[in-house]
Amino acid sequence: MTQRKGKAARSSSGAWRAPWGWLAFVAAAACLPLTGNSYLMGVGIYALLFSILAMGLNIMTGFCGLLDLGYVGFYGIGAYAAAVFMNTHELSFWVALPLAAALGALWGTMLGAPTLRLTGDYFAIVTFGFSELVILITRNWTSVTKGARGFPDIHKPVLFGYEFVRFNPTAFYFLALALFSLTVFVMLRLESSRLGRAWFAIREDEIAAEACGINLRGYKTLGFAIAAAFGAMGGAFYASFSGTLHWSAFTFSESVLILCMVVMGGLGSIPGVVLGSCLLVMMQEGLRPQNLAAALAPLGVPASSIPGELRWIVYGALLILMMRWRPAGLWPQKNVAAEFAEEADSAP
Amino acid sequence: MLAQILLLGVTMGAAYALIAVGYTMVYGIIELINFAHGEIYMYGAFMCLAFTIASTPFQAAGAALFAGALAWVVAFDRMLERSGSKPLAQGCGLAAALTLGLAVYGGCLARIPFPVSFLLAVGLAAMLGVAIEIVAYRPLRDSPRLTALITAIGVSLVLQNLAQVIWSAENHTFRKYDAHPALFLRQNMPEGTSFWQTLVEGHYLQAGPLSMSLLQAFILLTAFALMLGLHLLVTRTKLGMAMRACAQDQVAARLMGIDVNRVISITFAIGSALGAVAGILVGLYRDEIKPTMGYQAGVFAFSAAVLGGIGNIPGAMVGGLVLGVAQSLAIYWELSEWSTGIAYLVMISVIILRPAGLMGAQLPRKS
Repeated sequence: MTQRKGKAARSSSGAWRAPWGWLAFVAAAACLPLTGNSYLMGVGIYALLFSILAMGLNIMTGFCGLLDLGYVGFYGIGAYAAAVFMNTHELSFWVALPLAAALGALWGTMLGAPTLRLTGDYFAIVTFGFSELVILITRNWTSVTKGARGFPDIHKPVLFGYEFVRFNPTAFYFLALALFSLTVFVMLRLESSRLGRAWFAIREDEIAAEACGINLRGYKTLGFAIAAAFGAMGGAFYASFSGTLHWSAFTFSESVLILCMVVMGGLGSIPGVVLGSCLLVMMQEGLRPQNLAAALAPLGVPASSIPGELRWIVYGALLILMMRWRPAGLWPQKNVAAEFAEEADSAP
Repeated sequence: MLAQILLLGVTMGAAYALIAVGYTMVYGIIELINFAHGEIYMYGAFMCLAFTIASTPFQAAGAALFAGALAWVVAFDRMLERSGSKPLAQGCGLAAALTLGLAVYGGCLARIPFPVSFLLAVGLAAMLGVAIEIVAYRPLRDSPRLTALITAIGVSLVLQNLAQVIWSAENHTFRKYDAHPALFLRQNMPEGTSFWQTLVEGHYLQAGPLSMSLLQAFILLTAFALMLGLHLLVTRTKLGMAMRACAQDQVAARLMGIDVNRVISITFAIGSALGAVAGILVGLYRDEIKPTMGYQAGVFAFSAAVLGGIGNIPGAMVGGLVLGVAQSLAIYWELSEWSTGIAYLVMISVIILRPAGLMGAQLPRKS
């Protein structure tokens, strides 16, 4: 794995893409279980999981410049598919995970092929409607998804006879870290590949890209399918990790949360997206009413006056402020930053 | 039974149409899906409720601060445009914020007759729409479309959760409202009946097998009158002509001496006012007002706008009615758990099969 990563980075340009940065990050992340703190590891698992999802969404929104408002739909499909494969069909997690990802890719192709010829706004709305339909189906297709009460007791992964357990999350943490490394590796390869360059061309100017012989629909659909596969893979991991599934984990607000991570870190920027996910997951923990109350108690703020909805107000405000003053994100990708600067210059 | 259910569908459809008009007007003029529109609908309903029933001091203070901020934004922007002097505009904004803030605070603590609170709430919602445009959308008018769309989602999140902080997530209802009944549809009711009973449980109009409550009649009349008014405004007046001109080509409109910013503000004001009317009417009809009501209604109304052809005002009206009737039929065929799915299915299939909508002309693709 290490060697492959080094190769990936050598073939691309730019100092921040050096493999050492990623290797150092993964190595540092691998040290987290040494603290023995399962709360920290839980937060770490969510940060890695959301990084995977945000990197997947980044293919659509960052690389291709198409707003996908229903990314969580694929996450949900992957989660429920893995649950059904593992519990109903008694497959092992290691089979269910790639199957779920393949199913996600299939759905991505089926949804993408007819809709990706639409302009941006319509595409955003179709994806939004799709994710709402996914929720509706998981709620009402009781015979398969166990309906609105949720899918209980999903099997855990078993590796060489060792069964993963939720309450000692070290194993799950390393599983998440492995999936994360795989995702980063694929993303780096994609970014510097012919495919990635075609996506950037589409993002920057569809008409020019088409004139250069890029098959818009084909490349966009491929991007959508790959993004969906990563979403579904994240879902499969989540299903096994959380042990139960409920439709409320796949609502529109989750899509917005993932979008927020991508936007905050930097559209199209892989390290930026990971940074955005880690920051927002940490913020989510920090803004939990009980944590906030504990932090503010020394200042004499009563716990009862802390609203539970604060984190969503912060996310909303973040979206607005980032779009207004730093649309290319905290860790921008060079091309995206240049594009936004150009737009600002040409504005009257 | 079927006729009765269809009537229910038409009633809800009229409300969807009122909201859908707001989406379609804004999209027509600045090509933005205004995600915050559903929140304006919710805000209208909450403000009307806050004025008609007695609020707690916390709710009153929250509503007053928010209204004050809106007043500041709108007054500052208008004064700056008119006089060009920043200190003057700031003074004006401060004065407006103080006046409106105090008025809203008082209004929330007192109980105001329903018709008056209705108008006040609609006015405040119109102001909210204008303020959103000034603060969030106007600075991004020349940025990529993605930027404005993400901003709109952010605005919607902030407003929905702000409402939850002020009013809490529980269901609210007009049912508590018993004061000042004399002003509203009370003539023929015996002494001691509440406003609520009069409006909802009181009179029924019978027409053959159909029976229609006064509230349903009121919703239908209001909605159709407003839509007719809007249609006349857009097609027959100079302002409507300016709106159509801005929708076609803003640069050319500016060259013809149209104040484009003002026209956009007015478009937002009208769309938001209609949305707020729908919010109040649906709040009365469904007997529940909660911070998340704008999300669902917004989705339905947006589907209606897409169905009719986005940017097309008569199309949005027809789309709303069709969607309302389709949903009521789903209830009739005992598929009620799937009735929300109809909106999404309609939306997706129309976008894929006929993106211009039922009544839309094929628009040229803008880059």
